[in-house]
Amino acid sequence: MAETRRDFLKVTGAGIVGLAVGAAAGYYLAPPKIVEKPVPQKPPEVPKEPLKIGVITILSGPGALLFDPGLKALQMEVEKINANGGILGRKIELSIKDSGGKPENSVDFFRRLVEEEGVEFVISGSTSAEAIALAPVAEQKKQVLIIEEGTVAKLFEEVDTNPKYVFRINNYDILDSTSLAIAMKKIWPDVKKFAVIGADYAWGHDTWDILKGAIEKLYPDMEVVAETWPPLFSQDFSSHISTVIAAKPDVVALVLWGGDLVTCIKQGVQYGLFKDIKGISPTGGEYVWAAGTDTPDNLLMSTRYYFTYPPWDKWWPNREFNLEFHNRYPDSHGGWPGFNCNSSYYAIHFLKAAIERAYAIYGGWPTQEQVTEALEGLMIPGPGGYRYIRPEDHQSLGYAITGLTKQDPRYGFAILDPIEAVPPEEMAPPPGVKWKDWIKHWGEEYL
Amino acid sequence: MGRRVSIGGVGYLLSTLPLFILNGLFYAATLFLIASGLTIIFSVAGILNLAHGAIFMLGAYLATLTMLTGDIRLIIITFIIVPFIIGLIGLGIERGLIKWVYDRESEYQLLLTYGLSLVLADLVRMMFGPQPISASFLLRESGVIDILGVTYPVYNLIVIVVALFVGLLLWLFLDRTRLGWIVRACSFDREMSSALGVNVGLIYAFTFFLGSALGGLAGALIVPSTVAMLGMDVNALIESFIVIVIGGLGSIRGAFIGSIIVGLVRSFGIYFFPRYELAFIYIIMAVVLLIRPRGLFGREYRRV
Amino acid sequence: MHILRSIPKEYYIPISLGLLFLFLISFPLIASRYLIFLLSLALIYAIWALGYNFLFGYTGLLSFGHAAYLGVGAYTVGLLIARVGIKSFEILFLAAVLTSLGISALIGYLCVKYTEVYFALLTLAFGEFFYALAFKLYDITGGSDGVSVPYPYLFGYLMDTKLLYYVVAVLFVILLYFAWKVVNSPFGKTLQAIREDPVKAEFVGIHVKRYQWYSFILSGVYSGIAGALYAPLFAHIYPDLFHWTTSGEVLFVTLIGGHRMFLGPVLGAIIYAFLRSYITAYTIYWPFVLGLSVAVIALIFPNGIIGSAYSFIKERYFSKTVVSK
Repeated sequence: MAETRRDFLKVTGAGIVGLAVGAAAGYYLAPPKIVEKPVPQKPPEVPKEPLKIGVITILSGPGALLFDPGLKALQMEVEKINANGGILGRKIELSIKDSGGKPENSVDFFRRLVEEEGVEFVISGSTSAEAIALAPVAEQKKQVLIIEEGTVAKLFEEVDTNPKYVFRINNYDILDSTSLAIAMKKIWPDVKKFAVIGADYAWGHDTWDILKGAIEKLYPDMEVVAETWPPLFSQDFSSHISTVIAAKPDVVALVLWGGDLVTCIKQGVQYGLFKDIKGISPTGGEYVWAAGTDTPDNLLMSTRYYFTYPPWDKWWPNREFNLEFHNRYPDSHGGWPGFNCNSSYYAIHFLKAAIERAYAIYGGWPTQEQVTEALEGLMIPGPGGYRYIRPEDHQSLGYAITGLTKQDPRYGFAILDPIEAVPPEEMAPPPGVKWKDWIKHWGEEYL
Repeated sequence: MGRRVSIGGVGYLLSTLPLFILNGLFYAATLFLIASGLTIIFSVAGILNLAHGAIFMLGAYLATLTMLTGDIRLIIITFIIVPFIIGLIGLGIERGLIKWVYDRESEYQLLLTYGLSLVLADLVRMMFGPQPISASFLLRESGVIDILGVTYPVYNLIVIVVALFVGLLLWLFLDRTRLGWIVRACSFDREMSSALGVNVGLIYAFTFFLGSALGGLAGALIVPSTVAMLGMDVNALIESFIVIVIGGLGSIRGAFIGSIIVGLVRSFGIYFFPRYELAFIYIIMAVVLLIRPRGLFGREYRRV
Repeated sequence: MHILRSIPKEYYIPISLGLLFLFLISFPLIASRYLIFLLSLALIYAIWALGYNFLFGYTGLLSFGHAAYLGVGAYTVGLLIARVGIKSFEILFLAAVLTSLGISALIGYLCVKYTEVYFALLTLAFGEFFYALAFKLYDITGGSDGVSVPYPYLFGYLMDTKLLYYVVAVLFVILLYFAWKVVNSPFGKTLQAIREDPVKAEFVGIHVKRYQWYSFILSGVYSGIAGALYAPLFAHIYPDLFHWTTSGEVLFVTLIGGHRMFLGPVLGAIIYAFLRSYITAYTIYWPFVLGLSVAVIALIFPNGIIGSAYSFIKERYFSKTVVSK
């Protein structure tokens, strides 16, 4: 070694001294304290500059099939709001980020939007994993975050148990399953044996657990005869289908989404899966649009919003929203808005209504806290009927839709018909109650 | 865990054994086509082409263009035209980009093909949009047949036969034709082949054409029975990669046997251990690697 | 130049380290909070890539499963906070070091038996094994949704983004210095000898497998430390941390910078973190642009950006001694 011991000591010593100085400086520079935003004495004027809203959504990868139309609907609504003078005279400017469905990208973008670009509100069309990652950051930054999907029950049951700044727009996964079970009990009261083809990841397992819990209540002598768990984005379901057929169930639950559901249904038809077995699918309603005429009739599917409900002749907001979307984007997503489009509508209109409501109360451009107060308990009309934000857990609820598929030449795909729309209060646990406890005492009224 | 008590069980499985074997072979068929393309490029050019999954996806999306028309003549031509176009794309990529990194360390080749895979996959999104595309005309028209009392789609049988046929052609080509000998010679010793007057660059370009065309054919074949969707590239790449690891890097025979093993294990595994499907393919790989690190038919690997 | 020459050579390292440290410590004074976050991320990547380069650049072993040790570090910290309720970062950090040490020792022991592409494949397989564990052990790991990680405490202080940044910066400087010492120690020289020619190294009496194993463990522990910092930075852990694409990321980071240079991985990490963040933020076609940038770097900079710049400068300005390679 060229280095002598003394040199080594000298060098190391210098390094250590440097570090110590730095550490002391760091300690001094970083007094960990919580910065409280001062409450203004006089309400601030409505600023002149445009209102910047950050949007984190999924535009690349398989998740884009849901969120790309959703973003289009959001842009459409923003354009309309701006044409009518914006929110309190402020035009809305969207800053759009594509997370690709990755939680770390979402967190990165959230920080960038809030800390670097200075947006005032953030809307996130996200997966469950992203919602779980984002919510604590938003709470810590005291920044209003409106989550459109991210429908895992855990979000407000475990991760963010006392939400202040985080709101979730769409019906969450409990309703997808319970509404499906109720509708099934109505039309097929005597089925007994169940099988499942479920996507092997958190959403698939969660949804099946809830669905199974609901079915157990409604069909006390139910029996699960086969479970298969293909990984996400499988291209071949033939072995799963054969396994299910082998077990001879009465009902097969397809807990899949997007291209997976389409593929499974297509191959299922070829294998004669639906000849003797009834098919159900939570949230499947709009994914089968991509299957075109391949979807067989009489599969029971639930969804979080369906474009034909409430009927257009009875509820003009739905007709207007649909026709406008269809005229603008006839090629997107079968040409009709899906449930994330509906969520986008409410996300931006909830914000608008809350800001205006807070302005009416406080007489100035509202702070983040005032907007959260105004959002709590807010109820507004929209394409899917009235939606209401529960003040206790910040979960917004609307009709849960279930229907049987039926080929319709007017659309070129199978639509849900007839539709069973159940008010949400009956299908979601009350605030603060975990679904596992709630479902034990649920369902007696449907037996 | 499958509390499979009722009518199913081993008895049923035995009576429908052919069905599960066919399911496994169907899965193996597309896997073999993708993997053989990957492995042929690797064996000759020494490049693990991470863009191969995107090539496959591109083939699937291109095929939907004609399959949606419902014109049977057009659809049959698709199976020739799509591989040809995809082959040309592969050729273009090789001549334009990959050519320049043959002499670099393999890590840079990975870097380049990884970058290409992102670009290609995003191009597909720009051209075809984010919605899955289902074009099942062929699947519907070819109908179903009864195999021992169970319904089975004819189209799946077609895919299996086509894959077998392509495998046979590949073998004949590599084993019985002059060009095939030269290709194999290049995969064994590049310098020696070059010294013997073989235009190695041309052979590499041809290999990329052939390998990509196989990937494109796999894409076109799989489309009728499934959907063209974003994300299908990643799965295809991982699975075909594992298949060639099992079979032995650079071996067509290995890809053939490897895909059949994976297909059959998966088919029966889903019946018996449905909860662990995610892990099947990795378990097979780990077992093979531990017993025979170079894969079933692999030769000693050296850096080209 | 004269001032530079008047400084004795042995002070170069401590002085540059000190300057770097001063810069890092004073960075929050001039930068926005987002940039602090981004630099934290870049430095965590840098720690990871430094560790990775022990194995890749200095020992010549290409691992395709180094996400496993990042993930082990992150999941150790994340699960101990979220599931066990340990909030003290000192303990968490130690636990992450120990688990990544143990696991990389075990896997390294199995993997160094193989070489070249088989080594890469085996590391990949083990990486995917951990991915499958994180994915399937739903009740503990939350499956694909992952686990939300509350902030830990460092000596009783809440470790928010800012304090975390200082921790990252201090650890980075220490680990950088340590890596420099290792690389220039007889141990480091032995690794490089193994890289150049394992057969010859074996021949002159070096226990090749053992040294490769040590190198594997060292890089595993660096990765584990990076993971331990990663979990509180994002306040969330999820299985993709173990995925092979994440392993690919550290390889790319190292290659972008240049794996033949000591500082290559560090600068690669900083370039990559900022490049990715800004590309993804300003175009929705970011996979396209990112892929294109990666491909261009692979084509144009054969030794990585730093390596290429270094040889360019050396050839241009110090061309009396012709640079080999």
